[in-house]
Amino acid sequence: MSISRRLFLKNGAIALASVGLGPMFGPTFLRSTAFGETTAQKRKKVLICIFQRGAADGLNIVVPHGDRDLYTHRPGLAIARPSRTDAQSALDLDGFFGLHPALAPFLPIYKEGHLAAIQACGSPDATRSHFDAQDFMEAGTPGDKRFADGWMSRALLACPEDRAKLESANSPFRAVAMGCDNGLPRSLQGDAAALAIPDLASFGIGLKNLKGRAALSGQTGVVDGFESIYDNAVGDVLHGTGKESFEAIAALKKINPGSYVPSNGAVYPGGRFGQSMKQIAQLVKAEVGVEVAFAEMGGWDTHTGQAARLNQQLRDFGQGIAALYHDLGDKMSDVVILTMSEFGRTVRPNGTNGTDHGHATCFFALGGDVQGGKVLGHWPGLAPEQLYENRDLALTTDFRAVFGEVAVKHLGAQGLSKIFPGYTGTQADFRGVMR
Amino acid sequence: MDTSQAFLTFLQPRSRSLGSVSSIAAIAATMMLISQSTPASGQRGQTKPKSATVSTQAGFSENDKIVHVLNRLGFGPRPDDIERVKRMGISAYIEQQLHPEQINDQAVDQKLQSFPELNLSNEDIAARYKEFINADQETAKLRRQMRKAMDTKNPPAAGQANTQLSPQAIRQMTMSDPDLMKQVQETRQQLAKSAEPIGLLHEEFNAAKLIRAVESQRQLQEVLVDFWNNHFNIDIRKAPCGVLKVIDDRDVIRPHVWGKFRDLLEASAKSPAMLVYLDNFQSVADQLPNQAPARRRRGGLLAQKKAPAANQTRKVGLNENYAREIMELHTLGVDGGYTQQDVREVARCFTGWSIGSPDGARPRINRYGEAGVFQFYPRVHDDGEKVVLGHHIPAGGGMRDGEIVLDLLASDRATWRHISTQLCQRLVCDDPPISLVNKCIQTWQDTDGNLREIVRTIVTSPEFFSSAAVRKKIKSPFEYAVSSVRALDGTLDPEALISRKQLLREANSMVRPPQGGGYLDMNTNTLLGQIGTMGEPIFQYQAPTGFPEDSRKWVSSGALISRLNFSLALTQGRINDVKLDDPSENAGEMMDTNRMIDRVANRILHGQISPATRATLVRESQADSGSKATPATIAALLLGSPEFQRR
Repeated sequence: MSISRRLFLKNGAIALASVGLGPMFGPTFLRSTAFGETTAQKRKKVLICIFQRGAADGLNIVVPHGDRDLYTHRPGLAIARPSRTDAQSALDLDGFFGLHPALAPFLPIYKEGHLAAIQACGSPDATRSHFDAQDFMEAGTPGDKRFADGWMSRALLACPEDRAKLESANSPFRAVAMGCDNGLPRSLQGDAAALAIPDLASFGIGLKNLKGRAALSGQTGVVDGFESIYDNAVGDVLHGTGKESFEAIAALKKINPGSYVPSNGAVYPGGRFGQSMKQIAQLVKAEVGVEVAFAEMGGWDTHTGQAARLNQQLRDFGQGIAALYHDLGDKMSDVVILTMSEFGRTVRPNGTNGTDHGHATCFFALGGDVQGGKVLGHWPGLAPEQLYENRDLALTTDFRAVFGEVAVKHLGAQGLSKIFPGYTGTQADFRGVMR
Repeated sequence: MDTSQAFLTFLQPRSRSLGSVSSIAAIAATMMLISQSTPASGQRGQTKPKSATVSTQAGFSENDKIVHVLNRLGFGPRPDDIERVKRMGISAYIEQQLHPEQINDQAVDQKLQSFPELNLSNEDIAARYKEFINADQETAKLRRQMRKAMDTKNPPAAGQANTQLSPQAIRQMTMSDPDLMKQVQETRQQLAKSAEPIGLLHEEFNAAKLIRAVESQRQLQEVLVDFWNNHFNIDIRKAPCGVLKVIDDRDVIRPHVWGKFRDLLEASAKSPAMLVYLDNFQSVADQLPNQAPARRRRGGLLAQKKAPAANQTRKVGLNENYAREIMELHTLGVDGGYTQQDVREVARCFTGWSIGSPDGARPRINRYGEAGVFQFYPRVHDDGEKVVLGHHIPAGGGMRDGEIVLDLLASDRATWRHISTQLCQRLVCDDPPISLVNKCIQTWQDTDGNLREIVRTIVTSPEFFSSAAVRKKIKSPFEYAVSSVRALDGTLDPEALISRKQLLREANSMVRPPQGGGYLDMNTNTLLGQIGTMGEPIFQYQAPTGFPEDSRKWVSSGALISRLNFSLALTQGRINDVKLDDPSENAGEMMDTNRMIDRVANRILHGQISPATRATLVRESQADSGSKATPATIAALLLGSPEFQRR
């Protein structure tokens, strides 16, 4: 199909926009970028959430090596006390807690004061079902299944009107789930528009299975045709939706994920999690209006052979997040990376050198405005009488206090109870994650 | 002309001899061509363009009304449907759809006969599930033993992980040990064998839903079955709802969609799938005597086997989940006037409503759950007196307590309003007029909740044919996919729908929900996978609310992109279980672009193409040489158009 007049106009507008003359003709995101470059006083804040699905063993991740009971409960499974001579020992953080050695990439960030851990954190609900617990956490409503939307979606809606006028409000990328196997995660479901991108490289129309097809030439025509139809469907609700979609596709083409080179020597690990981290970095750096992003990593359900499995999990997890952190560089002053998992694991090992489903676990927060260099929260202790139901790490921080603090202090959301229906916590419950 | 040729007819170019003509003339000409190939409709061809042109001025034309009826009482028109309804008359067609038992649906019945697992009795389904669970546990046990043997042979260093049981390691071990070899082989065989009926059950269940929606003549019945399945939502990823939902759809929903609501409600309350999904099967009276908490046994393989059961934190006592949802979602609605105290009292009434093994034993509650049949356990029932919604329920009622609750809920006006509103949302518009909801409530009162009469009230009302209704609903992904296949006169291939290669994997997924909150059946080369990718993974909505009836929820940019991809995949023949005729096999002469557009548009949108879209299609098709738009391309564009997203 030949270049239509419409296409020419559009390309022309892009050219104009890029020299700052034609913002009125360009697609919304270009227009806003053009404005953004000149007038942005209010810098856009970004929240990146990473869900560790399967219940991560917080006790072997941020190791309470100063608590003697740990080694009584977990002979052979606990990470050893920090030792210069033992490469398998914990990396000391504050004399009481230490990082799993596979999380070595986190240590310098912690020391710079840009990484905090929140120990003994999680959901107050007692369920040990992955399914329910993940859902409760993503919904932000532990124990209550009545809500179909997610806390991140509600957090976006709780941001005041002036935020809605910010450039990101018009962006199809305002809320993005990256590399999530199956569409939009619960966290982002709801009334705030959100985009699920399985893989930046294949996000578009008709990109699959075209090898050697004569259809390919016709294909370009179809895609143009779709765009054109939605362009002209003025007055239809779907007109706007179509516009967003094609803008997203066009913006992604511009980003050209195939040729991406990370900054600051960041090296992402292979595999899907590394790819998600890298592609989130690409989107954030491309300034297409990302406000919240979500990624996930499975494989934390270490019922058997935990030592080797957790080692591998944490290597990918630590390298991936550290790469994202370094790749974003100065932008990290406006970004918070928050990790979470549905619950922790039993304090004592089970019969298969693993751990079973437990209660509290630990989260991480990284970012320029994160009050890092600290392990936050209250340590409940591991003495038998201190355990939850005589088997698990007790909970001292409701996850909503952490999510809420980031939503309120970082994103600027208002009204904790709007984000977490039924939550009675207040700002007094915040743990000091944010400066 | 049989249906398989219809697709071919409208995609196949006939003639290039007509030059540029006005669109109206083109439509007329197109209609003539179609009528030539459809002898029965020969006389009627010319009326269509006329009716299409008057539609905007004088209310809705007959054609518009027929399309509307086919879109709401079914999953959209097939190419021949318009003429068929026109011949019958709209009222007669509606009446027929209200009595599906009088509709011959042989073609679909025949296809479904190739799915024998769907006809297994509840007891057989539970038994087969148990067989698979046993084989699965035997396999796990053998693996543990082998790993232990390996560890004994080569003890791992302190702090190191256990030996991984790789396929190579298994081969090595079994090579030197014929007995073990035999044991491994037998275990594997037993696992594969017992997985087969479970995997097939899942595949056939999905396939049957698609076949019925796409091909059944009883279209309204399928719409209502879809509605009630969604109303009494059950997520098949919560084991063992994957197998139990088959029974729920077959014995709970389907037999009751034309009957009294009270009967449907009771069937659902006793549905094993519902009892598991909303946890009622675990709910027992608080403060029962002699209930020591489950203790975990230590040491040895037995402990490993039992550990997951102990880990489920069996809360011994009342579970309010079902009590809350039956009031909030299934009957009264969230503002239906019940209190937290009512939730507790209703939960007490339903204690002991649980499932039993086919052999009559109370099922163990382990990590898999257990399939079973409905059973009431008087011993764990709270037999004290209760007060529900102001009604006094005397002590000692036993199972009758729950039935009284069902009576109360089914006869409450809040229930009538709540459900009537939802039915109107599905069948009429997102914000149903109060006038219509009130008519439904009246019918409910007059007929004691006869669902057929309530649906009749809705689909014969003036509100149903109003401008607030016609073309005002956005199709759900399921509706979009099914209506697309129907618009192209496509059928489904039962063979291709059932993938026998992955039965073990399928069976596994009935036991262990996918990691990462993921969904089952997301292969985009299948119709089901496409529907899931577009955002409506069938029977996999986690929250008990079900998918939204408010169709505005379906509008989002990511979702639209996947819809456009679907229209491409479908028209390019990339959805393996959908059968369309391949236009290229019958490539005739090229036809004038205008005429081609009008022909295809008329078959897909039935004269409801907007001038803007038509103009765009014409412009996009006026290509230079080379990449000229083909009928398949035009079909893709039309299926992807805003017009076709609506019903």
